[in-house]
Amino acid sequence: MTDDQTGTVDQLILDHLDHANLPETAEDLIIAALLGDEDLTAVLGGTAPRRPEPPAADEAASEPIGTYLASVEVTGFRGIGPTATLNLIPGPGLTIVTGRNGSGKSSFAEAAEFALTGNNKRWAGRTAVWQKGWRNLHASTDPRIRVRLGVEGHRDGATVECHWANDANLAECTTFLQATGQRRQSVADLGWAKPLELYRPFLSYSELGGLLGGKDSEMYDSLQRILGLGRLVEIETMLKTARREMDQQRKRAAEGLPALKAALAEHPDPRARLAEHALTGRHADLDQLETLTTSGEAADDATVVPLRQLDVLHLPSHTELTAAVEQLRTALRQIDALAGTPAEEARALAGLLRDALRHRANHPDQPCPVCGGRTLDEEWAAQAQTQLQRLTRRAEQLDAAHRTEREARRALRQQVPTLPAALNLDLSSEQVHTGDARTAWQSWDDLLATADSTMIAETAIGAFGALVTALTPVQTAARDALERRRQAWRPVADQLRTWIDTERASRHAATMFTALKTAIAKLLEFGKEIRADKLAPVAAEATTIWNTLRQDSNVQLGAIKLAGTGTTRRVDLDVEVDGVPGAALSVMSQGELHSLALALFLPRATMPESPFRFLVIDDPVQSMDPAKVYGLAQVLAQVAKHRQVIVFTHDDRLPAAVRHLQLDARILAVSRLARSQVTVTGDRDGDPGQRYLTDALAITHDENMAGTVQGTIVCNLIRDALEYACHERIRIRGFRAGTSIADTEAAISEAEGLRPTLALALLGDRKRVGDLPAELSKLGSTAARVVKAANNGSHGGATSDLAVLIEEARHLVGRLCRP
Amino acid sequence: MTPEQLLDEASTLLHRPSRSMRRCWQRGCACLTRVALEQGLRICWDQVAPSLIRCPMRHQLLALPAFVDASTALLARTAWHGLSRAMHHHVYELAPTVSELEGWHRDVTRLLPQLRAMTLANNTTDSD
Repeated sequence: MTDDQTGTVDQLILDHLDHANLPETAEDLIIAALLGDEDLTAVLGGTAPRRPEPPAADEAASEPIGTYLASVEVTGFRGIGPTATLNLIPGPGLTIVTGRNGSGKSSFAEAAEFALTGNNKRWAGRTAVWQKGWRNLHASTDPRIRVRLGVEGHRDGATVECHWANDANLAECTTFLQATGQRRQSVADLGWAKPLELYRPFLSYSELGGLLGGKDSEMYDSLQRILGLGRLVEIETMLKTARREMDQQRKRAAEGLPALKAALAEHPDPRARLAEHALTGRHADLDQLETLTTSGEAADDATVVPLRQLDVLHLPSHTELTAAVEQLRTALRQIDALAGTPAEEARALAGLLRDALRHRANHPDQPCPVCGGRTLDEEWAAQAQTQLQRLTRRAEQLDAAHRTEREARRALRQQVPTLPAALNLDLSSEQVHTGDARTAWQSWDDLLATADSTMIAETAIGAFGALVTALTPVQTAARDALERRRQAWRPVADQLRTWIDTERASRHAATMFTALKTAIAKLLEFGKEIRADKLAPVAAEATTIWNTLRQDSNVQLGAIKLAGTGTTRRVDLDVEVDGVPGAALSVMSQGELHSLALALFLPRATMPESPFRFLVIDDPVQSMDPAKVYGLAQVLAQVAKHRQVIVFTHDDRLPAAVRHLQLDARILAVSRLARSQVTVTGDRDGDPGQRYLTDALAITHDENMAGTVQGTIVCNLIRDALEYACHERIRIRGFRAGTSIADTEAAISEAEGLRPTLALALLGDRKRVGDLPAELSKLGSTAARVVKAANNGSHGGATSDLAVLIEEARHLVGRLCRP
Repeated sequence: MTPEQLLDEASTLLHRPSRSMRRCWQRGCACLTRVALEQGLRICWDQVAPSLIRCPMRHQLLALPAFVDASTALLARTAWHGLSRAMHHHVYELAPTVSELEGWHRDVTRLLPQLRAMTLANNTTDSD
């Protein structure tokens, strides 16, 4: 039911949106709000909204299952001691329960209200004395309330039972619901919590006073809830909350800006300058700012570059260097060992020998052509061959040694780069002192530049050690300097990054804020129209009721409007006093206010969406003018055509009005004997059927009246009595059979005339008039005669027979009333 | 006096009560209005069912639905019971208000033509 209402309002809003031509974002926001909090958050975050599914067509106009009161059985509760039962007919109709003050009639009303709602408006908010005194002193058993319900379309209905243990508090009752033939359920299963709040079918005198006496906004809220417009407020609130959040969000970046600027101004890093520049102007350059936060160091800084160069300087390890020096030393030792045999000489000699050997091969055993001495014989050749080999090997060894020396020097040169430019700079401002390192490095470079390999081999390790010793503190200092800079910038970078995020969010929020403003303005507009549309029928009904009720009060009720928003929300009642418009409620008397409240309450309790087809009104007559009581009786009888109306009253004015106006109302009397024994009896002439017959009897006693007139009137009254009895019988049987009330009422109004009505009541079909005589004979031998007389409007007999006829009618009505 | 004359008198009393009527103009007005209603009924019964003239008003009102439609009967009943209550002194009830009296006056004024129409429509059924 509530979902239906939610759906209706949602659909109305969507319909309005279709024609509103809103900017897309605003429209998306409203739709997202309809879908719920999560969707709204998502759309505010920039996600595309889901579209709501169109509501299924069949759930649109379904009315809830109607519930009527069948009886209220009370034990040991408030004014009622031993079990007393108020029996009611579940179905439309007016029942008036009369009883003197303290007779226990209100206890029935309160018990029913308590059992069904778990609370009572009369005691709610009262002091403990009211809450404590609920238990009847004269009860011998534990308190119990049992409310039997007639549920439309269900044959046997259900029971709500409420009982208390021996010493339990009012609130500590056990309540359960039991549909006949099924197991017990929790009352919550009825799903009544919301309808009870919306259509509360219980109204007491004090509540009537409070309805208009309360704050303007309360009345607005209660009317709004009745109309199912709470959903509108819900959506409005959702959007307004979002708007507030967006408003705060959009200002947050601006709020954070001074702190950021101050931090940047204090910071020496050149990036701070760049950031400050990016922040000037209406819109900060966020992309540039972002680059500044992500760049490791400022690229154009004259000090940072050498520091980083120093940081990355790499010298070989001691082992690597020693290996290279050792290689050099080995080469030098080899060269030493080969000293005295210069390689060129050896090589030239070898060439000479080779030529001589070739010569001897061509011209053997001739004297040496060079010196002319010794003959170059075999022996010489062998000696020369040996000599040649020795000389060639030595030359090769020497070459290899020199090569090794060169390689070793190159290796040394490569392992340590030449003096880096960074060391030539003055970095003392960064606590980096390069002097020693520069000197050491220069010495190293000088050393390697000398031609004297031996010196290199001897001093290189020492020089390298000195270089390392001098460079290590420089590198450490450079690294420290860099770290100091990083440390100094990081918090600012972080702050900047956070602010960028905030600024981005704020910019987004600003657009969302604008969209939300548009959306809310539009929604309020829709709300106004929807409210007016929804309120119109209720307001019209209230006005009609008031006009019947007021019975020539000089106060006239015009349009009712829900006006204002937020804290100024109120209900505008267009009240005219003596034709002067604009008069306020304050000029109305208490009784008039009560009547007005009743006029507003009745439409509330008779909304088609309400599952409650009953209305319990406790003492509406108090402080009403006599003339208004007649109006009230008519209004109640009108409402009772479609609803079960149960009215509790402490005096005879309402029953009298009902009798005078010949309204079809059952009147019950509650009386209280000693020790809280409460009984409920049919009042004298409490049943309208019997009342017609009593009137008829009075007519027969009128000696002045002509016999024919008497006959006509008596027969008319008997017909009224029979029709009333038939209608009750049809309703009760229809209800028991599970026929819907609407169908029953339609069948009753279709059956025009006494015979079709009787056929419907007795045979369940208005067309079976032909079978009526046989059926009537089952109800007594005189039944047919009574019906004939009532139908013809005359009985054709003597006046003296009229009393007999009435007695027979009484019997028939009695039989009809026991279906 | 015709019912209409009685109603005129009642109206005068309602709007311009004479000095002498200062304390009881409401009840006087109610009384005159009720007499007008009864007079109207009497004229009607005279044509339709003379025997009813001598019957108590309660019975006359009970008889009315036999001759007129339900709403006219209800109007007559409402007015008569209201006026009866107003014209008698009740210990705990105050005199009716001007607007109430105006309302009944209006109802009776509306009722009289309807009764007359009913008179014309019905032949005498009273054989008394």
